[in-house]
Amino acid sequence: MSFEIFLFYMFSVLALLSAFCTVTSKNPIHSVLFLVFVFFNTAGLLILLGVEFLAMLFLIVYVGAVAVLFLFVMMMLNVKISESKSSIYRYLPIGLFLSILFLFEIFLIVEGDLNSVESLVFVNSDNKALQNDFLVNTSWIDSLISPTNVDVIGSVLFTYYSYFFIMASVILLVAMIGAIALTLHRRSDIRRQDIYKQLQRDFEGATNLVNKKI
Amino acid sequence: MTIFLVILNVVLKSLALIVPLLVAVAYLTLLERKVMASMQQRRGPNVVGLFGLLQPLADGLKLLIKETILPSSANTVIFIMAPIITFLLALLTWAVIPFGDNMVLIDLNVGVLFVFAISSLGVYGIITAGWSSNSKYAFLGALRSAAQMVSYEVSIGLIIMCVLLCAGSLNLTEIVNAQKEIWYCIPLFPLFLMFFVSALAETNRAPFDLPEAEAELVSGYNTEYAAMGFALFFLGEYANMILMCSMVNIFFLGGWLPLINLPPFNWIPGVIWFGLKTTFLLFVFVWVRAAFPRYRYDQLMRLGWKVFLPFSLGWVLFISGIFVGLDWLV
Repeated sequence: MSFEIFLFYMFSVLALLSAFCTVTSKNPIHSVLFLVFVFFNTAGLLILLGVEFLAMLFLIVYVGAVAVLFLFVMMMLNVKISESKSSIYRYLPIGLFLSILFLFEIFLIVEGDLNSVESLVFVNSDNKALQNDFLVNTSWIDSLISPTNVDVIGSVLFTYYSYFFIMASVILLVAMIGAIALTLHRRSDIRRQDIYKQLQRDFEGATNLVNKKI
Repeated sequence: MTIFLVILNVVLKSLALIVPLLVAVAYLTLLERKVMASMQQRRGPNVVGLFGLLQPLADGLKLLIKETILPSSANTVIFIMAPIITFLLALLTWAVIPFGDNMVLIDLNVGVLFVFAISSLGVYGIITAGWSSNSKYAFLGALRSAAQMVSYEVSIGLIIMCVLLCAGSLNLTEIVNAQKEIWYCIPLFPLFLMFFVSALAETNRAPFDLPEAEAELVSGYNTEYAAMGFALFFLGEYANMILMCSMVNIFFLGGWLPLINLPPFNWIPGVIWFGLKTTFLLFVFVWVRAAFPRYRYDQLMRLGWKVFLPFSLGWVLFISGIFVGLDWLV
């Protein structure tokens, strides 16, 4: 137990420190790398909580995809090391306001939601989700023998919260289409390679005899 | 005392995994040079030791005693960190790979996701190496390499999803055990081919070795590295190659399962089967390198996004349709 507590404090301290460095470091690339480190430590915290599936998703999505994109853009933009000319006090009020708002929201979420998550995982009888007849009709004895993370999340996400799931995916799709529509302009003055056309060509089609009289 | 024993246990287990892996990497380089040589009707390395068997050791020693050069305009901390990250991540994944029945360091329930997550982190070593070198060639090579790895990861993820649907588990051991009836390379043959090609692209191997296209980019992201930094990149790259081959093996060729479950094949232990299959796949990796010319970069991207992505996505829908329709879901 004590080892886990040690790990918990290590991950949280490192996460907080590197989050601080993310904000304060002058070089934007260093900021992104510190951000990656924050994600790492958060994944470690999630593993300590026993939700290894979410931890892996965190690593794949945030570290493997989002942060790589950040890094890519930062490197391509060639951002000069930003000397903070304006003093820190200029940003202090808005930052303070946002962080207080954030803290307040987190307290709301923790108060309201953690109970229900716990009871969903440990199948509490007085939970609202269980009155849904699909979940009742599932043979819980079978699935409770090895209730892995994936099973639990999948059975909740794809049944009870399926509308939210579909909604999230549609929002992502809209964002993707928007990004494509913004950047799509097909130039017509350049020659393109058409692979299908190239593959369709054969000897018969490509050559023809010309009977030229001299 | 018990804590000491626990630590000793962990250290010995890790060493028992890492040391054979490094030896395998060393001899993979020799295998590559020998196979390439015989395909091009040369002899290959044959001076150091019998049949050149000590050549990898000589190469390693040479890299070890060379001078480490830090470019004066490089970002030193990140420059030193990048090869270490690459090497570390290449070693880390091996913890969850099962070599035989119950022969695995950590039997993780989300093993597949772990492998996928760690291999998607491999981009960081490369991209930070390219950026911190502060050199145009290294930077361009790193950008190419990162874009390539990210785009082929998408199709790899979808193909893995198909295998997961068939096996009904994220545990690598259970995926292999699910192939007792039939290896997945037979019903999922197109996916097997696509996974293999994606593995080639993911490990930056020929014909997709654009990141180190020596004609244009000197040698890609590791241009500025010398001595041990370069050696770590090299080791990481080859360890990743062996890893991808083991993944192809586990997902499609039945891991440690024998060819046919009958007496003469049964007597050979599973570990040997695992080694044989992985070695065969590695041989094909080298074979491909000797046989095919390099892709152009836009063709590479087209293959990843316009051919592999729609095709593997279609396969996910197809397989889940069949499974739901015939009520086969595990």
